[in-house]
Amino acid sequence: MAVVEVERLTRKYGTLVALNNITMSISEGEVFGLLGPNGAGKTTMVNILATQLTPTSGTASVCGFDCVAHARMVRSLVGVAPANTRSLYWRLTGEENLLHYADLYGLSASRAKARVRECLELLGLSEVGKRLVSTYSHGMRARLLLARALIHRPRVLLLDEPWSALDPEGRQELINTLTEIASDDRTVFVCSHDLALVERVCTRVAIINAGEIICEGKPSELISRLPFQYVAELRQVPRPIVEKIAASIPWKWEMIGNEVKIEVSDPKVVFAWAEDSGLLSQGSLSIRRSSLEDVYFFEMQKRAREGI
Amino acid sequence: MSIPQSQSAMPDTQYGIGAMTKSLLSVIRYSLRVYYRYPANILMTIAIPLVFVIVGSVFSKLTSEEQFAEFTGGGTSLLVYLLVGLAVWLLSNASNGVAGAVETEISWGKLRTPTPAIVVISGMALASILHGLVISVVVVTLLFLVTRLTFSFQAVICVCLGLAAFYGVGLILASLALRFRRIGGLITSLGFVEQFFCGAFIPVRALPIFIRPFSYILPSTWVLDSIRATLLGLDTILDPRVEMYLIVAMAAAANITGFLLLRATERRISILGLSEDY
Repeated sequence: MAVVEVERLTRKYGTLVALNNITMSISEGEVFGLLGPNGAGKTTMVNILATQLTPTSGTASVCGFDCVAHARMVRSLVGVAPANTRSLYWRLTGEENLLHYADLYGLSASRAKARVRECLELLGLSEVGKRLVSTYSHGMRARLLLARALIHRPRVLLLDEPWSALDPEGRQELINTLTEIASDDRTVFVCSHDLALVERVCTRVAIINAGEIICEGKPSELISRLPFQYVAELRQVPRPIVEKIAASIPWKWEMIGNEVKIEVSDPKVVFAWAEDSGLLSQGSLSIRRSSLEDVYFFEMQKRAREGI
Repeated sequence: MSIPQSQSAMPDTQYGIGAMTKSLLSVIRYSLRVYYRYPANILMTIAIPLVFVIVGSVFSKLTSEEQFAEFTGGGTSLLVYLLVGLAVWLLSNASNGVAGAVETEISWGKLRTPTPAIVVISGMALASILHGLVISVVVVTLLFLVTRLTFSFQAVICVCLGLAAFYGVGLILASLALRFRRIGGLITSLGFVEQFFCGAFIPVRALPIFIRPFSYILPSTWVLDSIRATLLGLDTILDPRVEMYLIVAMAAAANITGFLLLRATERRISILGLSEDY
């Protein structure tokens, strides 16, 4: 069942087209990732779904409720965790922040207390709930924002760069939390630049650029559509040697810093080539399966080549 | 458009007057808690009036009652004049405080909840006025301690009408802050200008004639004039009864304008967006 539906959605800011004729739907229990560079239209999409922005044309709905006509109902169905941790009250405790928002979401007093306890526990903040937010670390604040977004048990959770302030352990915990939320038939919509994490947590992703969705599907599907299934990464090879052999590399390659990234379909062939070229004695070669990050750069470069 | 989907999709939220009232009180409670949690802010609540008492006492010695009566038409000291002015200006300035608070609130997320913007901003306006009232009460207490003023019920009515007017002005300024953004600083500065225009510290009749029209459009000018006439027996600019009617009219106009402006702004910002990010 589709929980979020967007149809021919366009949003313009003056002459700038932030979203251009976008159509997509997200089902119950999905963790959906929206990827794209800065200014691609991700935050505009979140703002429209959060009823903070009206579309120029087209429609967006949550659980069948139109984001413009039934804005108040949609607000009770979505929980928004913005990227900015300044949006918390630093002079209130974590508990007070959540209780205040529970009031604003219209929860009864007893329900509010129970939800505050549950949310703090879910996000691992029970022990610091009574501390002022000003004493929290960045990661704790990010988790409190997520707890705040969950306080009214929303059907859809809208997250904007949720892990930007988290340490590796925090990221791992957040992945588990989001998976847990989605398993409760709640839908998670994530905007992020962190491709590796999106690949780990999202059941479906879309890449957006200049207001248009350029590809959409399950991460594994998108990866399988790539013309290369493996990436060979040649590291620590002195630059003069790389420049010397560059013209003879038989595959598509690019140099990022001191690393040569080669797109290949057969890992054995590239390994043999590196050995024959004497590159293995100069540096190291690692071969990995293609990832969502490769899909992202492949699609972006394709668009750039096409001049879009 | 029909409302589809099952009730099972609904989260825990409640609607109705009770829930809105609870939200309103929550905004007031937590806004005040955020401010008064800083011990320095509590200290300032007492320190601000004390600064005025000290400054007023010093200047009172430099200005004779006769000189001062030229502009006020009554026999009162500068100190008492200033303290009454301060008490009312603190209340009137609360409406300016709302604009700054709304500007901050834009990115804080209260306006993303099902609680309507009018309830959130009303709560912030009331919290700001309550905060002004706390300092104002300290000033009035000092006033009764250092002078022989007597309690006046008419002055209390005047303050209540004034509060209604200031609340309305608060809604207007909050709408402007919400619509135009980054004007909180400007509105705060206007609050300081207002203290000179409304006669809080300088009698309106002592102001240059070209400034007086600005004074006359401020509700605080008439609230102050009426309260001073009631408490200190000073001359009023207009007939006292006319001044009362004027305050009532200004309160009604400010509230109606503020409400309509806020409703229109709420619609407008959903078109423009609360955030400039995309």
